[in-house]
Amino acid sequence: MTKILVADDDPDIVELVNYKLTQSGYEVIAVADGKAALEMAREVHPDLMILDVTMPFHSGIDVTLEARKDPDLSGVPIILLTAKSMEQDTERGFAAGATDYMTKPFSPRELLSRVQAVLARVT
Amino acid sequence: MRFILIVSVLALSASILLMIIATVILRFARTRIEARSLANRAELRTLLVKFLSEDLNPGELRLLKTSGSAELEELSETMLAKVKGRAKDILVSFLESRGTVEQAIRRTTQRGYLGRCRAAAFLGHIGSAEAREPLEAMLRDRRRDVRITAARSLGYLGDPKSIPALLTGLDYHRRLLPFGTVLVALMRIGSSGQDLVGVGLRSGGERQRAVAAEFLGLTGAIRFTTELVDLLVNDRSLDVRIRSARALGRIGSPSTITPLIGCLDKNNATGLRTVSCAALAAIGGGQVVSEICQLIEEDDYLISSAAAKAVSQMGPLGTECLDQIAKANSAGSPYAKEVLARVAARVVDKTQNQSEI
Repeated sequence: MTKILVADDDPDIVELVNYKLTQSGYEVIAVADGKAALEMAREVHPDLMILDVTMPFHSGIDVTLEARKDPDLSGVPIILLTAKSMEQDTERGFAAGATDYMTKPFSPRELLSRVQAVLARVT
Repeated sequence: MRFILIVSVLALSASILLMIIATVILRFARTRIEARSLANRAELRTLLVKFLSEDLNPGELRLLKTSGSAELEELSETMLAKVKGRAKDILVSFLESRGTVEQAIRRTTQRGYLGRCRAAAFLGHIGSAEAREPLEAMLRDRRRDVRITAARSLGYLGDPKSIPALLTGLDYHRRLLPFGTVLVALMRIGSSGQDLVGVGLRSGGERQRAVAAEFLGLTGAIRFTTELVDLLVNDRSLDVRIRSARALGRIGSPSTITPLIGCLDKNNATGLRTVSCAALAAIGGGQVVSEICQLIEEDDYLISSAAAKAVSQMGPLGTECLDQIAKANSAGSPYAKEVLARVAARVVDKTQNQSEI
């Protein structure tokens, strides 16, 4: 089963993403901050990570940078899901090594399509 | 005497003990209530998420639709700001069927300002057309927070009809709207509002003209080039002239090069000259490079550095001009050298970032 790590400190978003992905046959592991996201990623080696940018302890950008430095996680695709919608925010996200960037408010259906597209590209 | 003292001490101790017991009970009760509310909220959230994914069975759907819980209303309102697409459509029709729009409109005039703020935010997110007029009325609310929230919400509604009210709010005596809030709201409405904003450019007060110039520049309103040039040259407000120069740079029409070059004149304010420099650099062209290059040799360091920065953004012609000034050992050489060094550092930085990725 494809494992997806979701990190967001907003329980509404976590619940939405979790439900949509679980219903589509993915195994979802959810955490609420950047530090837990890194620890969990190192432990479970997910197939994909969906990260919020503004989180406690480490931001999604920090987690992406750390993941890219880690040999075990460097190849894991990362989708940043964030309220930061300025052009420079997107640039920062991609420069850090994100595979895709989605802004909030978001469409759960669109997120699912992006997850499927990213995973198809990797496999 | 001693007996009275003992009784007093005992009474005081008993009161303190009672107070402690009451506090503990209250805290315990509050924790229980909060825990129950959290559990209830989590249950409702799961139900709502299933509803948004169109996965509820008829029993659950009935339960959700007949629930009169205030927590469900609050959760739905919060969720409204987080989703879009089909999920948002479902949520909007659910809330509309419960009469929440009418309730929120009623709340726009309630006494507590936090309630008014919440109502304004909700009306913006739900995007109901009937919310426009109550939101426009809120632009004159006595509380600044309410006015700001209402302006933001009018931006979310995206109806150009609200533009006159937003612009008027900029000049409304002591209940002013912040410049940035109005500009962001206008940007959300988008280029369909250019004509109505253009009216503010011609007949509004100083802040209206300034915001209109910024908006028209940001939306690339080339139709308004003549009006913007007129403001650039003739407006009595320096702020409006500066914003018009910036707008013309963003629009990028070569027909505006001559008036912008006119603004580089030494008799003009430094702010106008530096912004005109940047605007000319954005428009580009050979004539512009030589005009701005001359400014690098000026005594005023603000002008010299702005000119050097502008020239560095003008491609090979600009770089050539900077090289010449850097080698000339003139008054402008340090500025040219600094900008060339920055450009080189940026190139190195970019190459490093790309190789790391």
